[in-house]
Amino acid sequence: MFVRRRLVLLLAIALAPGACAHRATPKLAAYDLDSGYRFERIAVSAPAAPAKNSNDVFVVLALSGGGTRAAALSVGVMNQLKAVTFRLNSRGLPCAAGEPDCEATPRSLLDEVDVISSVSGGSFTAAGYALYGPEILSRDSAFQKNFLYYPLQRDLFTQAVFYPQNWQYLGARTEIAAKLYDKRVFDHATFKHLEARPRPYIILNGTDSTTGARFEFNQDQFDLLCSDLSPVPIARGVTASSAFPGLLNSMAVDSHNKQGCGYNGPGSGGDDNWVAQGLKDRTLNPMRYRAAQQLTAYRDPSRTTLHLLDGGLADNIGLRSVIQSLASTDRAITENPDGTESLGGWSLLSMGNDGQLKTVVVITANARVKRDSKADTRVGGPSTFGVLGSASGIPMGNYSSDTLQLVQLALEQDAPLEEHARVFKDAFKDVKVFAFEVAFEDLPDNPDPAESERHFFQNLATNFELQPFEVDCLIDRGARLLRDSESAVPLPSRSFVDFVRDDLRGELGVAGGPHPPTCTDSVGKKENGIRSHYIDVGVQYGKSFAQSSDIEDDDGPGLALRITRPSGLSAIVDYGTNKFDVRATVPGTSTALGRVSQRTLLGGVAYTRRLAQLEATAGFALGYGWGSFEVSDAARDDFGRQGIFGVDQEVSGALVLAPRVSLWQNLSNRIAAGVTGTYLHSTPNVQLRSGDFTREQKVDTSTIKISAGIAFKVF
Amino acid sequence: MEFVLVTFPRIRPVRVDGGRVGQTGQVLRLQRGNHIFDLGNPRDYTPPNVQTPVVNTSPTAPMVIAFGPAAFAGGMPLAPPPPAPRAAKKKGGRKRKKAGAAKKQKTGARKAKASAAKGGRRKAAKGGRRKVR
Repeated sequence: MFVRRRLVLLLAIALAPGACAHRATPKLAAYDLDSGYRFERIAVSAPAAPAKNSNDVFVVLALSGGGTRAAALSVGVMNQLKAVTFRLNSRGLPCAAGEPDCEATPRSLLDEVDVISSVSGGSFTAAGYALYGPEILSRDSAFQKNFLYYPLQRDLFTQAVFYPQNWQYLGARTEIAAKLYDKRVFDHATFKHLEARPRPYIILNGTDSTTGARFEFNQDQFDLLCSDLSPVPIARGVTASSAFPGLLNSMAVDSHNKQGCGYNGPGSGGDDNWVAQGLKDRTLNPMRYRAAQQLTAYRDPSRTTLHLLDGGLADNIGLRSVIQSLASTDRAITENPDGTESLGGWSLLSMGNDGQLKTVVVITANARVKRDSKADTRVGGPSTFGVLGSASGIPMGNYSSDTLQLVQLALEQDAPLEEHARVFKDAFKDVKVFAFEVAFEDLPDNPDPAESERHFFQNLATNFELQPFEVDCLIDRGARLLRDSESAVPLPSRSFVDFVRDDLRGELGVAGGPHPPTCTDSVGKKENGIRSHYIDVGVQYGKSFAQSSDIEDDDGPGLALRITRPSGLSAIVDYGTNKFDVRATVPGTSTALGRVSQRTLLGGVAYTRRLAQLEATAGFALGYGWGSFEVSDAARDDFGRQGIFGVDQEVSGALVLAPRVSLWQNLSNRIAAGVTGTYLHSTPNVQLRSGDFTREQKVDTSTIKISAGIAFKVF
Repeated sequence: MEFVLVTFPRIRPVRVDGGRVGQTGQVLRLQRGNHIFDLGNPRDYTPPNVQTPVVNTSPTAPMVIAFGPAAFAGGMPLAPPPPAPRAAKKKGGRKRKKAGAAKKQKTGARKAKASAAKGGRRKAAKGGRRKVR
């Protein structure tokens, strides 16, 4: 029987605690609001003239979580924003071409994006756009080729399982993911690179696993830990933001508060800061009180390493930081000797009070899904995995709905009040606010699920490997959904088309990117290929052909565990059990001496080539085998006839060589079939003892084993 | 959202919780809760700051926080501090009126001080806004 035991390894991976090796976070030399990645330090517009961005039209994007699904939807939204063109006059107000004082060259609404707050999958697009700009919208861009259309999940799996140098990180799998994203998607860029880029300023949101507070990857947040964000790879922020519980472990970030960095910002003492004031607000403003408490918790010097989880646990649509900015003036501030101020954080409310805003647009790309479930059609509840999924997914969805309502409320409060404006001087009197949400529930539905676009999108997987057709659909419908959306504020709602035409006095062009005419399950079945299998378990039947006269042919059923990897070299680790019937000449006669049960632990290399769904692997493994020997009843009888009774048996350990080839074919999204040929060679010693009788025999266990079977995808 | 009007005889930046947020004579929108207000440098005003909970305001009845000028010599105020704060509240009084403090700013320390004292009493008598010093 031939058994692959890589399952043991995988279980170890899944159950390993979230600790051990991690990349150290550098210490901050000195607290300084004039350095590091902060909103106020990022140039509003690129140096090129004419300026393409201003505070007059302040656009905030909130990109939700949802793996590649969310990332592709966000790209679609950006495509549509790029297709909106308009002009501003010198006072920052929209104007029409040819009007006096109106700029000659139109700008796009994408140029006007100032802040992107993102979670999980959305963080890939946010970081990609901040780093590479509009080029990520091209199908030929490295971002789309290496991420949107690339099965990144397969690489992640491969890196974790097949590369021994990564096994030290199995307890902290986010480290493996961060290394992969750093190399494959973000080209080793750090936050220092982002400091040199113009807006948008990005906020990658994670969650502090201890307090449940949001954790933003910016220097304002890292100040609280006396840590320096600048040398930190962007990929680490993206990974922490997308460290979905269960799939990945937490990401570790070091705090250097024990050593200190001269921090004198909010919460460091004195009454003249928002934390001191906020801590008095337990009943007056519980949200502010909690924010002050959370900041204080980050300053705790006993917390030397923070552990971050998926940002979706605190806010799955990335809007909480936007609400904070719209509704609060709380931020870090340093008064300089020359009377100027250095500012941390970002506050739209402060900008509004200061008369800097004219139009505020908040656009949410919400990749929330609502999958079909059959759990309620039977008495038995969901499986353990189902419960775990619900426990993490349902709160995210519910919290997201609450968040959307809060942002609407905040925007309504920031809107000008006519009655108010007549009585008081109001910096908000000319401010226009808009909030658009892109969500699958606005897609057309159909009673037949196979023909329903809404059903198609709401049942897309949350992973980092979607089919090209699915990505095409997401990009196109993301743009279309924004074009067809309606703003929740002001009331009565205003369509995006009217907003562009009347409020921006601009033009709405056709969004770039793919344009699949129909995105439904029925079309998807034709367009999509078979999805990759990573882990299959199944049954197979094997036959061993003895290659020496010491053993006999054998056959029987066995279990199969198949772990795939993309083309290339990989490591093999294999634990298995093999059994051989040993023939021997017991004085005078040839008989079945007994049965060797050999356990083998093998390591080696394999080379894989994949052609569509056919995968061919050739490998060589070397290891050690040990086991037991059971003397057969026939041999005992023979020994008995010769006056030898009570024979003790023993088999020695031996070196094992095992070259092999295999062919596997993914037959469908669920089933794979394959055949494996293995040459197994070892020569253990069998020893028999009884009184003065001692017998030692070297057994050549060389066999060729052919196994064929069928396996079912579990991942 | 809460609404606060900070008054001073001249237009000055207003600092809330240590940071600049708008200017005097203009209604500021703030988060509900405790805040500390001052006018930053130069410290030629009194009181040096106002700490107060900001709550239950409305766009038409903002909380009024008044600062008055203080003459300085060598960093020490020459003039005595202004009268104690008068939290003027007149029941049922929610009359609309123009933003007096903002529109009646006068130059010159003496005029400004007199105007602020008068203005403060006048607003208190009409009772449209809560006033804190």
